[in-house]
Amino acid sequence: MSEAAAAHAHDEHHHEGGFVSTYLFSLDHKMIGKQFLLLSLFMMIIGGLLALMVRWQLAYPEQPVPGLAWVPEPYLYDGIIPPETYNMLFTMHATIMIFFVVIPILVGAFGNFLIPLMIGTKDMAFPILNMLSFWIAAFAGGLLISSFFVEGGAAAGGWTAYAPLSAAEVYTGVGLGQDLWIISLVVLGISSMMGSINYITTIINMRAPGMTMFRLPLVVWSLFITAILLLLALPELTAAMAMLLFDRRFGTAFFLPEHGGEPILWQHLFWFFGHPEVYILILPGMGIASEILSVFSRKPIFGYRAMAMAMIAIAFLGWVVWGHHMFQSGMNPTMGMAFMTTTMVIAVPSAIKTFNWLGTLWGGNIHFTTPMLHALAFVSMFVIGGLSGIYMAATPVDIFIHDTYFIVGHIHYVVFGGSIFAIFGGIAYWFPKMYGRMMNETLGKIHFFGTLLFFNITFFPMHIIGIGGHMRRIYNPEQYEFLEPLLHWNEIMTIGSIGLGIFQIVFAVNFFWSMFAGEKATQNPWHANTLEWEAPTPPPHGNFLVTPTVYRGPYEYSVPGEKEDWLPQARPGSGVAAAH
Amino acid sequence: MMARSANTAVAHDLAIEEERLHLRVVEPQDGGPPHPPAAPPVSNTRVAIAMFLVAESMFFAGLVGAYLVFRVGSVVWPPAGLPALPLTVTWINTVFLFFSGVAVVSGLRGIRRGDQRALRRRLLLTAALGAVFVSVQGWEWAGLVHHGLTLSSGPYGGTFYLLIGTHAAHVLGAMGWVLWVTAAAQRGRYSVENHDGVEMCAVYWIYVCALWGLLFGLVYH
Amino acid sequence: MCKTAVGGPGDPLSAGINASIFFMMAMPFVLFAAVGGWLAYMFWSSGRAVQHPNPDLLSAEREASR
Repeated sequence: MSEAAAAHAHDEHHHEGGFVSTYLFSLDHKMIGKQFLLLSLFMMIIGGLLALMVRWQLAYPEQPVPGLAWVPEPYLYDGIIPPETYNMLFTMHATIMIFFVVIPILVGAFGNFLIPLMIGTKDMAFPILNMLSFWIAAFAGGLLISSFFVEGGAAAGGWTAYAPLSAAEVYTGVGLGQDLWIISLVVLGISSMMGSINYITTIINMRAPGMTMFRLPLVVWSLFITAILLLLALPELTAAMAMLLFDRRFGTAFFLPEHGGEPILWQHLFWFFGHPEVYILILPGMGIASEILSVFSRKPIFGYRAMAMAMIAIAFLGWVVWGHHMFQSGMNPTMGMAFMTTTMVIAVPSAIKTFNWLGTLWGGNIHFTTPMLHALAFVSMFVIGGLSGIYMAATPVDIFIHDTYFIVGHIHYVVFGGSIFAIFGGIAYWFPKMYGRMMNETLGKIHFFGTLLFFNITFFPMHIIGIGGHMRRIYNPEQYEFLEPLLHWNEIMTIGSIGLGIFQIVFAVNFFWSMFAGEKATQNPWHANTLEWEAPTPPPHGNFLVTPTVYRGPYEYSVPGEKEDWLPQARPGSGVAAAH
Repeated sequence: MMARSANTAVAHDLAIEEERLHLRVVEPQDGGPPHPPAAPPVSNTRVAIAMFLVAESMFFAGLVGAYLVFRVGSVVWPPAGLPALPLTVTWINTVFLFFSGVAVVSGLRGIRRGDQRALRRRLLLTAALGAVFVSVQGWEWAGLVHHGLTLSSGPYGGTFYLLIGTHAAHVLGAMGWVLWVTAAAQRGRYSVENHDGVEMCAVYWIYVCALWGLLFGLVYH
Repeated sequence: MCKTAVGGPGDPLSAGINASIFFMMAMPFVLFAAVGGWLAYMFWSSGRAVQHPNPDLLSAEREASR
C-alpha cells in the first residue's frame, strides 16, 4: 500500500494549471463526470420546483401559489397559474427531468466517471471530445432555461410536442420558446452522440488485459448498450426536430394538415425515438442496481450472462414497440395487435432481470447501507412501474387509460422509482471514489426513508385516479363532475410531493457537506471487487499507477475457500485464473 | 514505476502517442518484464468514424422515413402543378460527384505510397468537384424555385428541399474537412506510416457520395 | 395495414405510414448488423495474432522469480 500512499500524497491537490483547466475545461473524465453531476442536480431542482407548481394547481386550482405573488404577468396573475403557464410547467418539468437530469446523470456523470475506471484504463478514448460534450450539453441547458424568459414563454406543447399543437404558434401562443426547445434538444443530441462515440470506442478498445467483455461489470454493459441506443435513436429525433422547426419557421408542411402535412407523422417519428429513449433512461439504472445489490449481499449477481443478454434483448426489442404509444391514434387493430405482442415480449427480459436481482439477494449476507436501500427501492418500485406497464401493453386496456393519470403514475414509478433511486444509490455508493469522503449514513437513511414514503404517497394514487378517468395535462379537474369523487386524491398527492421535495434538502445537505467535511474514505470502503476500487481514492489523472490485469469476473463474493468474502478482479489468482 | 501520475497534459499526450502507434503498452503489476503491446484490431479513430457514420445514417433514415410516408402515401407523385425535377442535369452532376469520390481514393492511394504531391492535388480535385456539385445543385434549385417549387409546396417541396438540402450541407461540411486535410498535408503532416486523417476524411467523403446515390435514386426517380 | 389510421379504408396515406414503419424499424438493425459485423470480423481475423497477456503466465512468472 506504500505505492498507493506515495502516489496519493503526490497527486492529491496536485494540479498543474489553474482553476480553468482543472475545474472548467478539464480533460479528465472524472472531473467531466462530476461536472455533469453538478449541472444535472441543479437542473433537478428546477424540474422539481416546476412539478410542485403543477401539483399545486391540481390540488388547489386557481388558488394563488404561496410565495409567488411577485411573479409578473403573464406568467402568473397574483400568484395564480393561468392555463398557458400550466402547459408550460408540465412541458418543461418533463423535458428537464428526462433530458437534463436523468440522462446526463446516468450517461454523462456515471458513464464518464465509471467507464475508464471500471475497465482499467487511464481515460476515455477522446478526452477533448469528452470535454466538449459537457460544454455543449451545458449550452443546451442554457438555451432551454433561457426559453422561460422570451416573449410567449417556454415550450408548452407537452414534452412529446405533438403536432400541430407544437407546429404552429397560434395553438399554444408560444413562439420563440418552442423554437429554443427544439434547438436545445438538437444541441443536447449532439453532445450525447459525442459521448456515445467516446464510450463505445473506449469500451471496445481500451479494456485492461484480461478484461474480456464477459468480465465487464454490468453497469459498464448497461452504459455500453445505452450508448449504442443513444447513437441510433437521437439522430432520428434530430431529423424530426428539424422538420418541426421548418414547419414553424420556414413554411414547410410536414405536420400541418391544412397544407398537406400529416400530424400522425410527428407521433410516428417522435415515438420511434421516444421508445428507445425510455430504455436509455432505465438501463444504466439497472446496471447500477446490479452492482450495488451484489456488493451488499456479498454474493455474485445471479445469472451474470443472462443479465447482460437481457439488457441486449431489451435494447433490440425496444426498436419494435413504439406503436404502443399510439394505440389511440386510430390504428388498425391488426397493427395494434402486432405492437401489443412485441410490447409484451419485451417485458420478459425485464422480468428475467428482476428475478435475477431477487436471486442475488436470496441467501445473501445483506448490509443495509444507504446505497443498498436505494437499490432495493429501485427493484421494488421498478416492479410496480413495470406491472402497470404490462397492463398498458394490452391495447384494449390502453385505449381506456391512455392520457390518464395511470400513465403518469407508470412513468413516475419507472423513472423516479427506477432511475432516480438508482441514481441516489449510485451517488451514495461511488461518492467515496469521486470525492475521497464518505456520505453521512444517518442523513442518507433519513433522506431515503423520507423519499420512499413521500414518493409513494405522491405517485401511487395516480393509478387510482387514472382508472377513474382523471386525464393528464388537465388544467382544472374541478370542471368535470365525474372527477369530483377523485379530487381529494389530488390534495393528498400534492402534500406528498411537498414532503418529497423537502426531503431532497436532506440529500443536498448531505452531498455538499460530505464533499468537504465527510469522513475520509479508504481506498475500498465497501470491499468491492471491481477495478475502480483498485485506484487511489480519489484517483489521480491517469487513474491507475500501473495498468491492472484482470483475472476473473466482477462478482466473486463469498467464494468458498477464500479467506475474505470478496475477491477483487485484479488480484492475481492463486496459480490458476478463475474459470469464466 | 512509471510516472503515470502525470498531469492532464502529459496523460493526454500519452493517449495521442499510443493511439498514433496503435499500441497499448501493458505493464505487469509487479514490475516484471513488460508484455508485448496489444494493438486493438480497429483503431480508436476508425471505431469512432464508424459510429459517426451510424449516427449520420439514422439521421437520414428519419428524413427518408418521413419522405416515404408522403411518397408512398400519395396517389399522384409528384403532385400536379409542380415543376419536374431536372433529371438530366442532376445525372451529369452525379457523375461529377462520382469522380470526386474517385479523386479522393486516388489521393489516399497516393499517400499510401508516399506521394505527397498526388495527395494534395487529388484532394484539391475532390474539393473542386464537390464545389461543382453543390454549385450546380444551387443553380438548379434557383430554377425550381423560380418555377414554383418552394419549401412551402406541400410535403413534396418540403421533403425535397430538406432531404436534398441536408445532403448538400453534408457535402459542404465534407469539403471543409477535405480542405482542412489538404492544409495539413501542405504542412507535411502525413506520411506512408501516418495518414489516418486522410483515410478518415476519404471514408466520410465516400459515405456522402454513396448517400447521394441512394437519395438521388429515391427522390429523383 | 394502417387503413383506419388516417382517413378511412382505401386512404393511400396508410400505405405510406406502413412503408415508413417497416423502413425505419429495419434501419437500426441493418446498421448494427453492418457495423457490428464489420467490427466482429476485424476482431476475429486479427484476434488470432494479438493476444492479451495470459494472466496465468503472469502469475507463473511471479512465482518463478520469487
